[in-house]
Amino acid sequence: MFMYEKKLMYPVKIKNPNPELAKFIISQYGGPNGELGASLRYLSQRFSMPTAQTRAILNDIGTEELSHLEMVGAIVYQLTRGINTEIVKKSGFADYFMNHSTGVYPANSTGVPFDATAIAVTGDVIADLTEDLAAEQKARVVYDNILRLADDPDVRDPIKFLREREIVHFQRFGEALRLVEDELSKNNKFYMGK
Amino acid sequence: MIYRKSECCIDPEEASAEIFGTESCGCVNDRCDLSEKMSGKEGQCGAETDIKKRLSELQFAQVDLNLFLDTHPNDEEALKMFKKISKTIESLKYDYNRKYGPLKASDSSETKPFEWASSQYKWPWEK
Repeated sequence: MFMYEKKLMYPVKIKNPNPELAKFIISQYGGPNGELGASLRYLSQRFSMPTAQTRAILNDIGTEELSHLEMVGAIVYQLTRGINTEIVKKSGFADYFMNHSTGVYPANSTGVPFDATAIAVTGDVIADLTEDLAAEQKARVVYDNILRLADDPDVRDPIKFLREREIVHFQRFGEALRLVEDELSKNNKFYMGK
Repeated sequence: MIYRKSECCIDPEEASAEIFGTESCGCVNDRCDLSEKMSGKEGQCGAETDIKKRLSELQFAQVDLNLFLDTHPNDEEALKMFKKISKTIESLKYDYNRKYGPLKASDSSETKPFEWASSQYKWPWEK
């Protein structure tokens, strides 16, 4: 089941509102390679995982992704506090603002709402773990792109944390895949030819 | 490295709540010098150490170790460290809740209004 602790996994303290940044960072909230997709994917895949380790790792990484989702939401929230309509118009934030004001809505940076077709659950452990490896890399790429476009150190700090976690998750999924492959091969006998 | 080295550190496995009460130390260092009183300076274990930051650091270590143990379930060193961190976190929670409000809804006291939903304590996304 899920419990909630009233604390962000990593602090988000943004001093300067900047809806222009919020406009593209929202992609990691509701975009195809964002945290909502990641948590939904892993928490859904965990049901059909065949081994103890794979069940555990999907469960735990999926849970961590939910805390990342919260962080991204907090970043977007803080970037859009205390702004006025002039800033909204000048920053290109008006399209999002029209439908969501300064609320936090799961969509990507071009306004496409979150779509579960971005994730896959095949029920096959090799396919699912391989998808997860790709997912972590895709998320890492989007964080790279955010870092390319965001100068504010208050924003860069939590984004860098989130990016590092994607890399760590990639490692863990790689280990899980290797363990599963070992497990599946354990009754195979391999002969070296002369 | 997120663990602070400290001269003054109470081994959470040996500390007892009666002696140290709420001045629980946030270190997971093995070195323990019980004679040195906690001075509360930054960098040393102490009640004045920013407990929120310390708790976050420890919880992060716990999460990361948790993931590692999922795929390395027989690693003794990791298992020991995980247990140690978990115990230290438990010892910090009382002070945290007193200062920052309930961490979980079940940590709320009986006071009115319901602490969990009270505007006295910020929600994590508020600045």
